[in-house]
Parts: sequence; structure tokens; C-alpha cells
Amino acid sequence: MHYILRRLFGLVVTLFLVSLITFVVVHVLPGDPAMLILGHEASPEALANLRASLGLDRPLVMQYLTWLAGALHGDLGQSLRHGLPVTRLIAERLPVTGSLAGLATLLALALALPLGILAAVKEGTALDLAVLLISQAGLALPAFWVGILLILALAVRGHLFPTGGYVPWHESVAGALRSLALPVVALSLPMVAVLVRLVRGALLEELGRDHIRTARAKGLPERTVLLRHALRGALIPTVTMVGLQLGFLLGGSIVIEQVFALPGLGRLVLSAIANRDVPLIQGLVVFIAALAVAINFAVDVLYAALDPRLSARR
Amino acid sequence: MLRMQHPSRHGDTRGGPSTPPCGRSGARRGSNPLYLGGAIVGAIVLLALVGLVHTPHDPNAIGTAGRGLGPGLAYPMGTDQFGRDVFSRILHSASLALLVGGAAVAIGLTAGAPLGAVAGFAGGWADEVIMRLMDGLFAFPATLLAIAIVGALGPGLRNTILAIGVAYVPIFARLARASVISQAGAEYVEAARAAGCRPGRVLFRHILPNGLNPLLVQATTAFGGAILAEAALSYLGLGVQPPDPSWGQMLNDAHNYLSVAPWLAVFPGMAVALTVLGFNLLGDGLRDWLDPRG
Repeated sequence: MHYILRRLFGLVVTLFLVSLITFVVVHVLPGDPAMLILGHEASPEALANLRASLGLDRPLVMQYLTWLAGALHGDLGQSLRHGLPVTRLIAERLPVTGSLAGLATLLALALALPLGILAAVKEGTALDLAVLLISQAGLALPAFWVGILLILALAVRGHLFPTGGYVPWHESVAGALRSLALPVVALSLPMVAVLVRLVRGALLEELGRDHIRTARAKGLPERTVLLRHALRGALIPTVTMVGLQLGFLLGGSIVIEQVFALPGLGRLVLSAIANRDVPLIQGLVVFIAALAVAINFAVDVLYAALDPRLSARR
Repeated sequence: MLRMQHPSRHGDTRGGPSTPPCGRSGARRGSNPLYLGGAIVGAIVLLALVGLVHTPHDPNAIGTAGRGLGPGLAYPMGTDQFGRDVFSRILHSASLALLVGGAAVAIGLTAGAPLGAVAGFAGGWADEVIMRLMDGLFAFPATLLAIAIVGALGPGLRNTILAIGVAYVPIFARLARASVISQAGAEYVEAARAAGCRPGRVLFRHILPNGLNPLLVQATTAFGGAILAEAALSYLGLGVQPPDPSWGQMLNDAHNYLSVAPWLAVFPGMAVALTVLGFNLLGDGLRDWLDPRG
């Protein structure tokens, strides 16, 4: 319990810093939001009035504190471009990014666990080498390039998938899956590469431990030793890595959403930057970073619950 | 590559003859990833240097050849929508990719490593303040942080380097801090002192090389990561801007001509992948080479 409380305090400090860093970065922006709204022909008085009504003429510290107070009440401000609350825009786009990242994680686990186990069991063979080579390739290939090649092969040439765009789940489940299939494959590739190496390494380490020797000495079938005993230990670092990689995935999805024209949070970030929509950039960047922090926190807590030694040690 | 002294560590009983604390290190064998990665990186550096001085065609000359020619004898990787030679453009962009990688890593390393080393060395509130700030930076998905910074500062080569470099700062800070803390109390440091090494020698020949190894490995891998990040940023139109050609930008152009000129999407991506693969293999090889426990 003490451990979780301490982690919770750390979480609050990190979230505060995330919002502060974002505010500092975003407010270096050279553009003038007032001019963006009113256009270049606007009179200086009109610009000054709008700046005053948007609160842009106040000291940065006051602007930040006002933003923070709003954020704590679930109000991230209004988008300059869309004229809608930032929270509403996020809520509209979240299902797309959520589906993309969630499915990519599931696919990565579904591929990486068997491949990693296979490589560990067949350590040193050609099969092991092949799996490691695939993993090296997955780390080196730009995910967005893989996405473009998938579009080329399976959408432009093969006509099996759309070249881009998104079909919402409530319209058609099959359509949603078809529109997400290629981006999910492209996005999951680097995660597969990282997880395969991790599962293989962790499993090899587990297989060298005493409790595995004991299990084998008891005459348990190798299958049971592997899947019941060794894999359980190897899953702990894997789960942590999945948590860490989810943050990476959220970053990667920005690029992948652009490749496949998916209307998710990533594309919203890019259009907000193109439009110099300061409140939207601020809200989105903090939201995505906070999401990554929250996921890591959840994984850590889950982990401490599963393995009481951890909370005692820290 | 500098051969660094690496006495076997505390608790390490596996493999090889033990190294005397003040003597020369024993022979250390390289590995396939080290040689392969080194060869790939070496070849790409060489090609980048050649590309700076000479390319078969002018990489930016518009319309000197036919537009959208497929790969052939005169143009091994074809020409783009403006009739520019793709091979010349890829060759010409190599030095830019390496520049971004090197400079971003240099920023991350020179800002992050001293911060982390000070945090680890001083401890107390300095440690707390520095590392909390680093945790805050580290909390951002790196791509998001880089996009936000480039979005704020505006696109271009310099800002791309800066954005990727800043995203690397917390990684190097954490590594340097862990390194300093682990090395300061290590048994081999005491052993070296007991063997009569002067304090300066202990610091520069023992603590520093051992503390630098993880940073060196990370820097190598981060080099490849920065090239990936630059390609992604340039693909998004936020990175390197025309007339400077970059692999990511070429892929952005290629995306618009997928059905008529598919080769445009193939070669720049291969250039990125091969370069990153080289640095990743080199990093893996270095890690195994520098840390026999691997």
C-alpha cells in the first residue's frame, strides 16, 4: 500500500511537470493566435481586443495557472480553429487511436510470444537466427514506410484493403477492421521486434534457474515446465515492456494515422500544429502524454499486486 | 574504435582470465553484429562523403531526364515526378541523415550525461530536482515531444536536430546517473586503489571508461533512432525542408505517386532501413564486446 501511495505521488508530480513542459514548449510558438482567427487585415485594436479576451496579454504564469485550474476541472479550453471544447475533440478522435493502439498491442503480443518462445527453445539453431533477424529488421524498418509498402502491395495493387480512411465500428465492424488492418500491422512491427527479443532473453534466463531444474527433476513434461513455470517468470518483464511500449505506440500512431488518413488524435495534433491552434496543441499533447503515464502507472501497480516482493523491496 | 580497458566486474565469475586491476585488458573477441554493423555504417559514411562531392546526376536538377522513369541502366533507381535522378538524391541525402543523427545524439549526450552524472554524484535535492525534470521529459512519447518541439519552433534542419536531441536528453541522463552510482562503489575501484593506482588514474582509466560504455552503446543505437525520427518528421513535412533533400521527404513525395511510380517509395525507405540496421547492429555488437556478461 505504501508503495502504491508513493507511486501515486510520483504520478501527480510527473503529470504536473508534463503540463508545465508542454506549456513552455507550446508557448514558444512564433504565431499569433489572434491574427490566425481574424486574418492579416485585422486592425491592431481588434487584435488587441481579441488577445485580451483570449487572455493572451496576461503574464505566462497567470495563463498557465488558469489553464491548470481548468484542466483540473476537466476543461482543456476551446479550439481556436474548430470553436469546440478541446475535450470534445479528443473524445471524438480517441476511439480511432485507441482501436489502432489496442489492436496493434494485441497483434504484437500474439506474434511476439510464440516467436520468442520458439527462438528460446530452439536457441542457437537456424530458426532462432531467423527470428532474431526478423526482429532486427523490425527495429530498423521505418513503420510508416512499411505502411506505404503495405498500401502499395495490398491496396493500390491488390485492392484487398482501402488505401486509407476510417470506417467507425458502429457503422460496420468488418469495415472498421478492414480500414484498421494495414495500419495495425505497420504500427505493431517495431513492438513485435522489441518484444520478441525480450521474451526470448527472459525465457532463456528463466530456463537457467533452480526452480526449472527442480521442475524437470520432478519429471514434469518439458511442455509443462516451459509454459507453466518458465513462461510465468518471463511474462513479468514482458508486461512492463508492453506498458512502456504503449507510450511509444501512441507516438508512432501519429505518423501512421497520417499515412493511412485515419482521423485519430495524431492527425488532430498535426492539423493543430499546422493551424497554430495553441489550446488544442496544449490539450492534446498533455492528454497523450498523460495517457502514456497513466498506462505505465497502471502496469506498475498491477505488477506490484502480482509480485509482492517488489513493493517490499522499493 | 578505441579499445577501452574493462576489468571484470564485481560478481562476474564467468569466462576468460581475470583482468589485473592496473594491467592491460586481455584479448576481447568481436562478434558478427559488430563486424557487420561496422561494415554497413562504414560503407554508408563513405557513400555519404562521396555524395557530398559527386553524384551521377545533379540531385536537384529538374527535367534533365524524362519524368517518372522506372529504374533502368541510365537511372538505376528511376527518376521522380520532376525528372530528378532518385539514386543521386538518395546519395546526396545520406550526409544529411548522418548529420541529424550525429548532432541529435551529441545534444542528448552533452546535455543529458553531465546532468545525470551530477545528479548521481551529488545526490540529495540536486538529484531529486534534476531527475524529476528528466522523468517529466521522459514521460512524453519521444515522437510526440519531437513533433511538439518542431511544431513550436517551426520546421527545418536545425529545429529537427534540436527536437530529437531534446527527446534524447532524459535517456542519457538516466544512464549516466546509473553509471556513476554503480561505478563509484564498485569493488574494482577499491582494488585499483589498493593496487597503488593514483586517484586520477582510478577516475580516468577505471571509473570513466566503465561508466562510458553504456553511454557509448546507447549513443550508437540512438544514432539510428535519430535517423528514423528524422525520416518520420520529414515525411510529415515537419523536418528537413526543400531544397535540402531527405529520405523522409522523398517518401512523402512518393506517397502521392504510388500508383504511377511505385519505385519512388521503395529506395529511400531501403536507405533508411539499411542505415538504421547498421547502427543497431553496431550498438548490439559494441554492447556484447564491452560487457562480456552480455
